[in-house]
Amino acid sequence: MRKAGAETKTACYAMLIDLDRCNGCGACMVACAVENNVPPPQARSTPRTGLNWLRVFRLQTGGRDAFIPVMCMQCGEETPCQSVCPQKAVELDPATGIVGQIPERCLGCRYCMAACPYQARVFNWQDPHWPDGMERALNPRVSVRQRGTVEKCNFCHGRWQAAREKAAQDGEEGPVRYTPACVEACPAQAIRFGDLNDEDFAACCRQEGVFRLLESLGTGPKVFYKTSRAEVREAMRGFGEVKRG
Amino acid sequence: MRIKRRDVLSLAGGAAAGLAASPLPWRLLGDAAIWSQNWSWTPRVPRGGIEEREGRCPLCPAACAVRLKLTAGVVHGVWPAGSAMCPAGFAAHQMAWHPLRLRECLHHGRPAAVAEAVAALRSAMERRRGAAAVLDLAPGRAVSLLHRRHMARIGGACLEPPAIEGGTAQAVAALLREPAELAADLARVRTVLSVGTPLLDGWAPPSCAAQRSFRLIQAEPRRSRTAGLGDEWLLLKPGSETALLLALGHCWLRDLEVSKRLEGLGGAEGWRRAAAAMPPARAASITGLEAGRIEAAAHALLEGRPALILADGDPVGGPPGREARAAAAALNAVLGAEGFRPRPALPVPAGWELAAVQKLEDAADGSIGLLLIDEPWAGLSVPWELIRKKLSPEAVVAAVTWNRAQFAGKAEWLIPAPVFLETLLDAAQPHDAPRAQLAIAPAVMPAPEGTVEAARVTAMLAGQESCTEEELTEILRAAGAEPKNLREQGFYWTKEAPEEARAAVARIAPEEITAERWLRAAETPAPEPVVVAYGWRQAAVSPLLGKLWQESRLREAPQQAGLHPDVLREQGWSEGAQARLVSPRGQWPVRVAPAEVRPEVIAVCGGPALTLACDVRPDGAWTLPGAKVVKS
Repeated sequence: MRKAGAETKTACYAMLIDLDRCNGCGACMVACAVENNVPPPQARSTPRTGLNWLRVFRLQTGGRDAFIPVMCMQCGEETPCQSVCPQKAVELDPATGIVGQIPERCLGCRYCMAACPYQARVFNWQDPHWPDGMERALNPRVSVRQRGTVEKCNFCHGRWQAAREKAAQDGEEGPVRYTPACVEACPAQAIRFGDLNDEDFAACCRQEGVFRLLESLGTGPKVFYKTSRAEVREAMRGFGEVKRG
Repeated sequence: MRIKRRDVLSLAGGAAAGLAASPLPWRLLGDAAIWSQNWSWTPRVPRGGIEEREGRCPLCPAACAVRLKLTAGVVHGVWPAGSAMCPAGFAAHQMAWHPLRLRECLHHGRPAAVAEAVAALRSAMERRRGAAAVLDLAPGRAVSLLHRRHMARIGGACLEPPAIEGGTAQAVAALLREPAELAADLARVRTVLSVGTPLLDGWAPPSCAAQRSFRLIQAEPRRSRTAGLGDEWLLLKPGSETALLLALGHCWLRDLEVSKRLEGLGGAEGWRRAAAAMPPARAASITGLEAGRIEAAAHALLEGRPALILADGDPVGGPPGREARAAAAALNAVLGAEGFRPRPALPVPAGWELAAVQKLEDAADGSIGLLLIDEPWAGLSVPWELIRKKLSPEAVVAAVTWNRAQFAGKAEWLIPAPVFLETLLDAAQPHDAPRAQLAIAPAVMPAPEGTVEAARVTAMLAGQESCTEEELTEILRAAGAEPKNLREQGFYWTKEAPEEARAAVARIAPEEITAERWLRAAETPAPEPVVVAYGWRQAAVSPLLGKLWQESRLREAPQQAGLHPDVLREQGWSEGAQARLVSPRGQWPVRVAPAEVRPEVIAVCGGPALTLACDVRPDGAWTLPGAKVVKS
C-alpha cells in the first residue's frame, strides 16, 4: 500500500462511518468537544442553540436502533457555505480538502448556517464559559471562539497541524497521516479516516452499501456512510427532514 | 465663496456614500471581529509543551488504559491507549473543576478544618455509642482492603451497599458448593437474558456493545439503550420479572437434561413447584408478554448455551426484588452456572488482619455509632433510608466525598476528597470477566489543599500515620509486582481465572425462598402508576456530558420523565413540558417526554439524588412509593 498522497503531494481527507458498528455511545461527541475546546452546555442551551461539531442522531427503524453521526461533510464541490460567506471566513483548503472556518474573520451573519444542507454548523450565541478553573484544562492547540461566530468540524485541524509539524521535523514530505479525535475515540471503531488519494481507502468508500448524505445536491461531501441494513439506507434518504432539535 | 447649507449636506452625503464604497467600514468590521477574539473574559488556552503519561481510568471496573495529555502540569485530555473508552472517560479529568466539587471541610454546612473533623470522629468513636463503620460506596478496590485493615485495628465494620452490578453473580455464588467470588464470563457465553440490567450501557466495558459475540435478549418495562441495541426486547410489566423467570424455568422443566441436573440439588423441589405453577400462559397474563415469546426466549436460552441470566438491576433504580434475583440465580444454577466463573482473590500482604465485609442491609438496625461514607467518584449512591435505619440515635455520620450536594443535610461532616488524577484511585473488580485486577490511576496533578483520602481518614481513626501509598505498594508486592513510582505512573496488575476453573453448584435456591414465596412475589402487581427509575452512573462526571442530552437527544436527560405517548396526549402535555415528580419523599422538577414504555409506567431518568430519596421495599428493591408526575 502506498503512502497517502505521496505522488499527488496533496490530500483529500475523508471519513467512512460504519453505521452497523456505531452504537451511539456519544464518545465521539465528547472527545470532539474536549479536543476542540467546545464549552459545556450553558443553562439555556438546547439542541437548537447548543454547540456540537458532531451530533449523533438516533434512528428507530423498528428493529435494532441505528445511530447516525453527522458532522461537517467537507463538501468538495460548490461548497455552499463558502460561496455565501461575505467575509471569506470559510475556505476550502486545496491541499487537504478540508473546509476551514476562520473565526477571526467571521462576523456572525450566519448565511453559511442557512446554506448548509446538513445543518452541521453551530453559532456561538453566548460567550464561551467553563466552570471556574476548568479553562486550565483546555487543549493548548485549539483557540477558543468568541460569541457571535460560527464554528464547525474541521477534521481536527489542530491535530493536522501537529502532525504536519512533526512530519516537517522528521523531514517527511507530502500529505501527513493523522487521526481526528472522533476516530480515536470511537470504541466500536466505526469511523475510518483516510485520504481519497489513497487507492485502498478510496476503494473502501466505493464499495457496495456506501452512500453519502444528500448526494443528489452535488456538493461532493467527503463523509461516507456504510450500512448493510436496507431500512437504515432507506430512512437516510429523508435526512433533509431531520431537523435540529 | 460662500458655503451654503446645501453644500454641507452634499458633502456629508457624498462622504457617507463614498465611505460606504471604500474598504474602510469593512476593514473596521473585520478588525472588530478580530479584536472581539481578545476580550478579557474569553478564556485563554494554556501555553507550553504537551507531555504524555500512561494510566488507567478507575471510574468503572472496565479500568480502561488511557494516555494522559498534560500541559504545565495540568491534564487536558484523557485518550484511549489501545482500548475503548466511554464518553465519561474523555471528560474524566474535568471532575477536578466540577461545579459541585466540595472544596472545604464542612460541619453542618459551616467551614471547618479536617483536623477538627477527625478529632470529632475519634471522640465519637471513644464515646462508644455504637460500632464504628465505613460504608465503601465503591467496594472491591485495593483502597477497600486498606479500609478493612484500618477498621480491623479498631474493631470496626466495613459495609458494602446492596450489590447492583455483580448482584446476580453474588446470588449464584451463594448457591455454590464452596463459596467463591464469581464473575460473569461474557467472552464465553452465546446467549444472555438481561432483566433490567443496562448491559450495553455502562455494565460491560465500552467495546462490548460493538464487539459482543452473544445474542442478547433484554427484558424490561422501557426501551432502554440496551434494549434498543439488543437482539430482542421483551416489554415487561414492571414488577413481573419473577413471573417471567419462573415461566422460563417451567419451559426448561420439559428438557430431559435440565430435569436430570435438578436431582440431588438443594432447593430443587421448591423451585420445581414454583416453576411448574407458572406456565407461560399464566406468566403472559402477569408480564403482559405473549406466551409464545416466553417459550421462544426459553428455547433460545437452552439452544444457545452457554447462556447467562442477569438480574443485576440499574445503578440508579436499584436492584430487583430478592425473589426475582433468586429466580435468575436459580436459572443459572440449573444450567450449572455456566455463565459464571470463580474470580481469583485480590492479594493480601502477609500479616494483614482485615475486618470482614458486611452488607449494609445485613447490619443490625440502630447499631452504628460512627459512620464514615467513602464516595470516591461521581454516580455512587444508596437510599438514605437504608443508612438511617442502621444508625444509633446519637450517631455521627461523616462523608469523605468529592461533591457537596449528595450528602449535604444528611452527614454531619463533609470532608473533601481528592479526585481522579489528584490521588491514587483504583478501579473496582470487573463483573464481566473472571479476573482480579489492581488498576491504580496515577496522581499527576496536585490535590487541592484541605482534601484528604478516605483511607487516610480511616488510618487516622486507627491511630496510624498516613501511609496510603506505602500500603498500596505492599498490596502490589503481595501480588508479585514491584511498582517503581506508583504516584507518578500508577500501576496495573491482573490475574485471570485458570482455564479449568468452574463453579460447582450445590443448591438451586436459598433456603429461605420457598415455592409459595416465589409465587407470591410473581403474582403481586406493582401499584400503578409505577415509577421506573434509571440513570447513567457516569453522567455526573463532568458538565460537558450534558452535550449528550441537553444539546442533543442522544441520551435521556437527567430529570426527564418518560411517559407513554397516549398518556402525554391525555394530559395535554407537549414534549419537553415542565412538570414535577411528586412523592412523599420529596419533589423534583422534571421535563416530560414521550417514551416507549407501558402506559402505567413513568420512566424517570435520575441520578444519585433520586437514589438517595428512594425507599427500600421489604424484598430489597428500591422504590419511590406513591410518586406521580403533576403539572408544574
